[in-house]
Amino acid sequence: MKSLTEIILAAILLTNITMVASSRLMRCIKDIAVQGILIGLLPLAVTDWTAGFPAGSIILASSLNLVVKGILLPYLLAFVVRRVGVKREIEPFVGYSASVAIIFLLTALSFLVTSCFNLAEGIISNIAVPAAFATICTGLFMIIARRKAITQVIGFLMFENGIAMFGTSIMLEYGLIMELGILQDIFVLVFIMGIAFFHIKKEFAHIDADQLNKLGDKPTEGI
Amino acid sequence: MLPHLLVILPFLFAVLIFSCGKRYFAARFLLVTCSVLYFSLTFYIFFAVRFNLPGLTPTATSYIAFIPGDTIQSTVLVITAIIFLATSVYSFCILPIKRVQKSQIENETLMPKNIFLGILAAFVGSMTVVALARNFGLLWVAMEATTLLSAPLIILRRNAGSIEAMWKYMLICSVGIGLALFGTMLMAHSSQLAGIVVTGLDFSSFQDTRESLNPIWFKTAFIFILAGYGTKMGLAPFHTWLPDAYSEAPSSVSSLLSGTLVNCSFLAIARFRQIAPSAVAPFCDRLMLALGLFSIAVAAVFIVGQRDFKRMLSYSSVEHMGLILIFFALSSEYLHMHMLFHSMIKAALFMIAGNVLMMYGTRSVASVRGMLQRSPLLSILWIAGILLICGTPPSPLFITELFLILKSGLQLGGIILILLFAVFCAMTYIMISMTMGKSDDLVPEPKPVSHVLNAVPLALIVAVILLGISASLITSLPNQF
Repeated sequence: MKSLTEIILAAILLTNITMVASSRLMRCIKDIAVQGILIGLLPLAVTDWTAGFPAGSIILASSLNLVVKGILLPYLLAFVVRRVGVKREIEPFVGYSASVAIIFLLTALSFLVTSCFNLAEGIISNIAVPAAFATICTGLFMIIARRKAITQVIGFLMFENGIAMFGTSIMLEYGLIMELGILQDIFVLVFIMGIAFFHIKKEFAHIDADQLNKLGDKPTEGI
Repeated sequence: MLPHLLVILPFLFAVLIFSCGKRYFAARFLLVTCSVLYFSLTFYIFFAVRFNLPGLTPTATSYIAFIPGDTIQSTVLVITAIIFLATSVYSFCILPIKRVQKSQIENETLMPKNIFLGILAAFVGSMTVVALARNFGLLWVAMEATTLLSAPLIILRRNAGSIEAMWKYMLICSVGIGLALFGTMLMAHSSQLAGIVVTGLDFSSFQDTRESLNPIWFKTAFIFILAGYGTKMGLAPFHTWLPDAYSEAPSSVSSLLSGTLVNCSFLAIARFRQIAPSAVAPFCDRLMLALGLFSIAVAAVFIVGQRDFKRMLSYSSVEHMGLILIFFALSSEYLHMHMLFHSMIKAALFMIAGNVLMMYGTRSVASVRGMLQRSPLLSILWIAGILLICGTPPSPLFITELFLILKSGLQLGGIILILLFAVFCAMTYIMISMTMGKSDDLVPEPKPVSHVLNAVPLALIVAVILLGISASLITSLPNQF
């Protein structure tokens, strides 16, 4: 099943790039859904099906990931986007072509850095750990480089997908770690609801997170 | 059995408080009952350990356990119990007043009080899980739960400022917590490389096999852990959410966050340091030393010339977190004393700051004058609190900081001393400018606050002074150098 694993990992890397390159929020949400489904399929792809049916914990983790990351969270995000009525990211801090270039560089860098480490036996694929690093970096980059609160949440989801990938790729026998990842998803769920209910509806007429800069130690402003 | 009860208690009361509906008095009363029970139960556990009373049956495999010799765990539990008691009584007194105030402020919605108080109780429950967790997985989950539960507390008064603070808190802390999860995985991988499979990420099994952990992966893991949990702890340069959250949160929440949550995050870092293989330990200590010193420096820079007194207190928290980290890196002898008294004084100070805010209606230092003339008791508390937090004798922090400076040698000690002196000057300057002067021409006219609100900080400050004097009498510090 090694080739299938690598196809999935490569597809995850591709979704990273399409997400960074697109300005429409719905496009980003569809991409994060695809990525979530791929993350959910990853544990199934790496198990050895010839040795019998995989353990219950793997099936559970995989299906929970599929449901939460592939369906529930994208659906919630899409609901918020429709409710708020924003369609696209306008004037991000880093332009789209520059973003793609940066993501290529970050991905190359992750491959370079992880090649210096010696990884344990039983790693699912040679590209698993660097792909996880690259996804984490891309997520963090999106949080920094985008203006809208929703895009930042998508970036956070991607960051979290990267961590889940790392977990899957190096330690399948740690059942609990998988559960932790799922718990973090619930956290993200509440996180999105937090934006939907408090942040957008009431106080602000916009959802530009860079406008959230009234607090600080600036000397001129009154308090 | 008892530790489990200690965890269940706040959650149980949270449910009860939620179900109170609009009966706000019942909700407030239940919160105080919960904190009193929590306080008694915590101290019963200590007595049970001391005098072999029934109720403690620690099992090696349990996820939650009270370990008698684990001083950091005991300290965090004691601090949580004390600060929870203080803040619940303070919330009991302040919430009816806020309700009256609310009608005067436009564009602001107040969260229903039963929800606020229920979340407060659940937040304390999640911190108890952090303190009692015997498992890195559970520790992480509980730390995440503290973020989740404390974020809604910040927006008790929902306005643009508090929503901004909550957004920053959520985003920065959740990324930090994500990094900590990554660090936990890397740490597990470092034991995997050594061929050890630790089932369920149990503390004690890691501690038994710590020397065989892979050093390079453990180093990487520790960097992520320090950055991740350090974000939650408020260490510079990951502290940016902290001044916003503390200054925008209602004062009872600021007290709870600054008094207890930071200690829980420190506990998480300490747990990972405890399993460091001895080859990596010096590296971890150097890293903590550097981060601690940087935190003190950043705090000193931002406290000097600070225009907002709640932000000043927040940066003082950053400073003390740096000190705690340096303590831990050098020697943990007076560490627990520092943690306990810092939490008590800081919680009292945030309550006093809340009273000042209520009286003058502003957090700006420049607009607060003549406190001594308006409310002598409040001013005396403010003066005492600021002097105590800066480590002026007879503050117990004087002893701990003196020990730290003597322990850290000439160069490091000198740098810390200079930074602490800068913080002292800046804070006392702000304190003097707020208490002295005349307040006759202030618009709007300062409203006197009820003396009930000063009772809790007064009790805390008096307790700190008495405990500090007794601690300095029994300490053996002068004999050590």
